[in-house]
Amino acid sequence: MTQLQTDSGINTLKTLIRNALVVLCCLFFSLSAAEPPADKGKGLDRQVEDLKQAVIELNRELFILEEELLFPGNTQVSVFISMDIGKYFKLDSVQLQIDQKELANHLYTEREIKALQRGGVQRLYLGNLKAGEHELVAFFTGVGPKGRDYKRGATVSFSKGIGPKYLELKIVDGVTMQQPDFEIREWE
Amino acid sequence: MIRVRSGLASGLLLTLSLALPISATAEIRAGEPQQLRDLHYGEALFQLYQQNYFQAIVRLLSARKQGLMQAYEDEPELLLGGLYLAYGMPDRAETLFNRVLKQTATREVQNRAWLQLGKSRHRRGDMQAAKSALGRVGEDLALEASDEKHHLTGLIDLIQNDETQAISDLGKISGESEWSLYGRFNQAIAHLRSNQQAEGLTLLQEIGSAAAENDNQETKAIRDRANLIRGFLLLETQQAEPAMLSLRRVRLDSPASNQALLGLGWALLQLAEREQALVPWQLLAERNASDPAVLEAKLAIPYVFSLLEANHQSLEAYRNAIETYENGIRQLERMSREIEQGDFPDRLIGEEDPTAAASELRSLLPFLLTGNTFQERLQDYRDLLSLRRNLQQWQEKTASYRTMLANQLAAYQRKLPSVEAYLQGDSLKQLTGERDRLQKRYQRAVSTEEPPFILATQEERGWIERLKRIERLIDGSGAGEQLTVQGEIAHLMEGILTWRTVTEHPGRVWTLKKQMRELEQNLETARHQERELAEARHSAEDRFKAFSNHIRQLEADIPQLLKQVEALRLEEAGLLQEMAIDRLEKRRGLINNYLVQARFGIANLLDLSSGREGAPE
Repeated sequence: MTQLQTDSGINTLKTLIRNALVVLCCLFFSLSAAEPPADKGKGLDRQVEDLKQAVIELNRELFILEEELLFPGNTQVSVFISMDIGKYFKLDSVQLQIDQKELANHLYTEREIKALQRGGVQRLYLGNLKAGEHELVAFFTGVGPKGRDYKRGATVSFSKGIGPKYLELKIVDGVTMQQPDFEIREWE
Repeated sequence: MIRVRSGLASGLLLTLSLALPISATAEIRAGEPQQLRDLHYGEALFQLYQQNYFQAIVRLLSARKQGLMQAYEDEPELLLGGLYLAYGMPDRAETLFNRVLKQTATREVQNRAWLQLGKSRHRRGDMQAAKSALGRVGEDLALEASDEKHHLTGLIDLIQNDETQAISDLGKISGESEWSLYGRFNQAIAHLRSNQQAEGLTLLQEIGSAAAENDNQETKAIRDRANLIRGFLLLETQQAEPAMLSLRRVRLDSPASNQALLGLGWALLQLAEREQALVPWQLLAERNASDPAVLEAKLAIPYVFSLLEANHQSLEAYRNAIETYENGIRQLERMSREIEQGDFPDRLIGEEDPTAAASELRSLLPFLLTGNTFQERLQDYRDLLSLRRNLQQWQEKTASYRTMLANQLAAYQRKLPSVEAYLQGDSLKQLTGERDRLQKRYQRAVSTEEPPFILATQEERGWIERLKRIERLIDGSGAGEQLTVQGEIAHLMEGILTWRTVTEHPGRVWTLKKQMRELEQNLETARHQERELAEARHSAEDRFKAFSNHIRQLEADIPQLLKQVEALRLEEAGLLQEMAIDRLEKRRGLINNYLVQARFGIANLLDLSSGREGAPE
């Protein structure tokens, strides 16, 4: 009887360990990156890719059309925001005013901040302005050096001509002062 | 203890090596910021870094078509190719990289294009072609890109079962880049697969025990996996104590923690610590039963009780396991019916569906989601849903643009008569006349030798007239002597006026000249505005017509594309449904297997118990 019990135990143990490995194997096999797509799916993949391309092309046309229709070149103004490493400033929000009118107010997510830090440029505002002289004011709110709340403004007067106007708000690490710098650059 | 077949372990290891993400998210490093050379390129990067691949592609293509992006030469093409790859369009990416290779002359860009092409072909499963592309990448590559190349080459070697070459290629990865950890892990896998257990285990040990405070989530996950594999491999060779060390390093909140707890129980059992073995398994048994490791623990617990000769507890635990398995099977049947009835995979991914059936289906999501094929299919399905939303939004927008355009046209037509009147009116002629009048006056002022009153003001002219009248009155009165004083006053006044106009004459000439210049400028502006207005009037109707036609044309494409999206969505849904049912079936087989073993366990216990009762004293 003792022998029977031992045999049964060993068999159970054997099965259980094999189960455990099968479980692991299933788990990781299913994660395999090299799992080839089934033939059935390959044709579908190609069709999905073609469709994606068609929708992308349509979006490109509609995007351009929308811009030309709503923001024609002679009145178009775009304001972009960029930053370098962001060592001395963690951006929370930006408020944008042109000619004392509030035009944009953006609260940043962690993901957006990371995208800006990695070299991305956000289009903060796209709108229309008459030709002539204008004043842009941007307020940056966030956390400054030594974890202190930080709010700074930057102002620029610019002239809007007959072509589209591009302005870039730059948050730059001022290494000498160990403070963030806020610059505004006009692009041709 | 029973040795497990090594084939099973190597199968496990192969798949583990490939399970590693090869496109790790690059961490932001302190250093020199890149000089921004193009806002539109930067905008595409902003979308890319948030994984909004579709938006990034559209922005990049629009900027390129509008001629707004010139400062980066081939960079946008390479970026675009990478975006296509990330957005599940490898064919398009391949075409683009090939174009870059044909057009570009610089070695640096060519290297990057070959590397991207290698990635694209690897993604499409064409390993030979991928390796050939990677072989064309030159040595003069930036460290990060060079390490990525070696890593990808090593992975392909592993897929092609060339472990020796994989060890060599992965060994070329520098210790500096983010690829280093992936490389060493995969090198460990290659060693294990080529029966170099010691080297493999050492590498896994190094990876698993080097946890640092600044480890990111991906790194932590790799360390967990290294510890898990090492633990199970050591268990297989009866080395329970070092196995436990590795398994205990797996974080409790890690996705690998269930397997680690399972392994920990086995390790303790190998050390004959039967009661201790129950601790991790009982903890594991309390967790979500959708994980196979939990189901496994349910069976291991009664087994340990039986070893401890606690037959009553063992029987209870077997019954509990059977109940869990039977519930599991019923749940799988319900879910299979649910899936077959339709709305799959919408109910699986639609978080807004609060029904019990939907949340039950979602509880199985981690199990269904494993596997690249399923994940890619599901991502394609999600992409199709998002394309449908995108097209529907444009459908609404274009309708409102048409209305807007119609309103603009109506407003234009309302204003047209006043524009026509302005264009046909004589405001420009009046301005020209004024300019000519001033011109004549100026000529007279500068040409007259003695021009005392030529630039006199209206008031001065009035005064002069009055003085002349006074003089005439005095002369005609016949009482000259009596009016001598008045005559002198009139003369004096005339003299003052003459003196003033003469002394102020140069200043007045200058002012007149200035007025003429300003008038000339105004005249030029007015002429320009009139030209623009005339042009605008001439082209306005054409512009409205062009916009209207363009909108109509693009609008016409939308229903057609929506139809295609819907057809492909249904096809994808069908494939996903098949895959899900297949997985549920396999899962059912697994649970059935557990169920049989649990029932066998009970029978065994009952046999033992009846044997004892029947045995002679």
